[in-house]
Amino acid sequence: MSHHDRNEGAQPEQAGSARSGIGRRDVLKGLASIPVLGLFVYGFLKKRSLEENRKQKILSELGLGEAPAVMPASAGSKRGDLIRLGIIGFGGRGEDLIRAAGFAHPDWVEQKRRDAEKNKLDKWLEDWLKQEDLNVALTAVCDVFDVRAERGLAASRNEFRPGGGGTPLPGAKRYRHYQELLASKDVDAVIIATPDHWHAQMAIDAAEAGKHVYLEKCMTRTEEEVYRLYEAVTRTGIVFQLGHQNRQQATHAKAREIVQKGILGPITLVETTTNRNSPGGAWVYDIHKDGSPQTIDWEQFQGPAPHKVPFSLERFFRWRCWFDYGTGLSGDLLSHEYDAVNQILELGIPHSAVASGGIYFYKDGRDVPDVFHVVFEYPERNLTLIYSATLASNRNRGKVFMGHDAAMEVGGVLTVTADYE
Amino acid sequence: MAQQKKLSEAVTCTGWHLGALVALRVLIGWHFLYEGLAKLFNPYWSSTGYLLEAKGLFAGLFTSIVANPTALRIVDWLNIWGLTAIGLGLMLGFLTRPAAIAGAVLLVLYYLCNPPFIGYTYSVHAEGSYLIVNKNLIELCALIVLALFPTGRIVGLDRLVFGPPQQARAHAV
Repeated sequence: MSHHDRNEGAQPEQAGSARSGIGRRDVLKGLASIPVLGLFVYGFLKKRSLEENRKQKILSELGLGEAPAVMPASAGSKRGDLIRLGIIGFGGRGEDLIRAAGFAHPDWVEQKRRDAEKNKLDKWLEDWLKQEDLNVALTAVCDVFDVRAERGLAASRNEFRPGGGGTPLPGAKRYRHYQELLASKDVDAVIIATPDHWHAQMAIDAAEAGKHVYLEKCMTRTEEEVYRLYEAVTRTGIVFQLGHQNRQQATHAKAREIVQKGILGPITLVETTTNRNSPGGAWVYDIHKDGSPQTIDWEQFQGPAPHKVPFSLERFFRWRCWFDYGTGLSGDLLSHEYDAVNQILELGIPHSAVASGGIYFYKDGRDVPDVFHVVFEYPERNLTLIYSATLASNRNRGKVFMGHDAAMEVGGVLTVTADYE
Repeated sequence: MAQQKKLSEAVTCTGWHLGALVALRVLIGWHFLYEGLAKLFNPYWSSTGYLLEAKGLFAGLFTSIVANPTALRIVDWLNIWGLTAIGLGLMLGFLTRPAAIAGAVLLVLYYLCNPPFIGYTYSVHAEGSYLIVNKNLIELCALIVLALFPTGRIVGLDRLVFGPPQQARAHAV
């Protein structure tokens, strides 16, 4: 065996072991890169402490916590008595609401099952099944279109549901006219999911019949109806819930905190927008192949609409395109934007409002504008709120709060940009 | 055999060659180690976004990891500690060849998850311009070189643990 390590003063080698001769040179070469690791550790710690200090400094200067916004619970946890629900209007939204209450049409379940098989990330059905059992029964369905009424009945019988143990459900009864549904002793509360022109009358009639009401925006079609509905609800003492989407958004709560801390400085301009570019987004919904004067109770559909017209499939399935039934961009989509700004700034009723727009793209017989803008003035708050909408371009223009010190954009994420000028 | 000879005739290993290989090893080690520790110390880090961006032949496999919370936790853990361990190994020259091979395997996965192939676009903007070849591929290739020329037993902890290679002893004078 040769002497491997030729350094002077090397340790004596152990017989029979090739690794025995660890000398000074071996140690030096073996540990040669340790100083680089030292440099790395130094750099790593320095960078971390700098970044942490900077973050803490910014947060403390702004008086902000690192914690995410806390969302209030949407409902109490106390389990009450069984509530027997009736649904008036089982179209797209009505079906969504009843599903949220725990009753899905078998077709929807099947569709979601297929989606989940195709895409493992699709947890829609799984999440829905995990939903809390709300202790409600669906006992009554009313829709003027036979196909939709039948869908409602099928949903009411579907035992495949959150908290469902496979026990067959008795199912709902169909009522041809909503007044008959309101007269039923099997109904404690109604969900009204009809076009806007029916909202006020149905909600008032429900209140008079002693039924509690869940109704979504736009609450009424006209201003005058608001007062009548308010009077009926307060006089009868029913529980009246007004539903509005985007009320549980973490970004709204955080944006409110940022504004209240004064981080943006005086806010003089708020810009909010709707930017859609699809037939569905412009309310050109599908016309069901089975829709006809035989399957649709056209007279009941028209009801309190200001203009009575002959049977029209377009008007029935695409009612949002006409002011006879809907409220156009203002009630349909501005309401969401205005509500979001209100959650953040508590603006309330403006001093004045100016609106303009036109039907510039969807020349399909509608009478509601597809391009629409409103300027609200709040002189006592020293700010202007601008709403701008188009249904023919979807470039995101966001929701922007222009402050003297910083600007804030609120959407799925929240961005605050300091003003340098 | 003939080719091997040719190469050794053409390239004589000098201190400069060794130095360059060790420098490459230490720098890649540094990069891996920091990528690992940066993720370890970021409480919000997860591989979800990267995996969801997956394109190409194995896109289904990568996105299915996100669908399974347990698999995702394992992948995140392996990423953080894999990068850290490989980084330390390369930097210190400890288990140099296994570290280089493991690093190359990890980079193959990264490359296949978000390949810069023609026609693929990603929502996260790349910091450079890439056509099929990106930095993952280059670092992967560099690690193959390091696996073929492991320098840990010459300069690195491997020398203390496993002893210097025969040639190194001969050159050590």
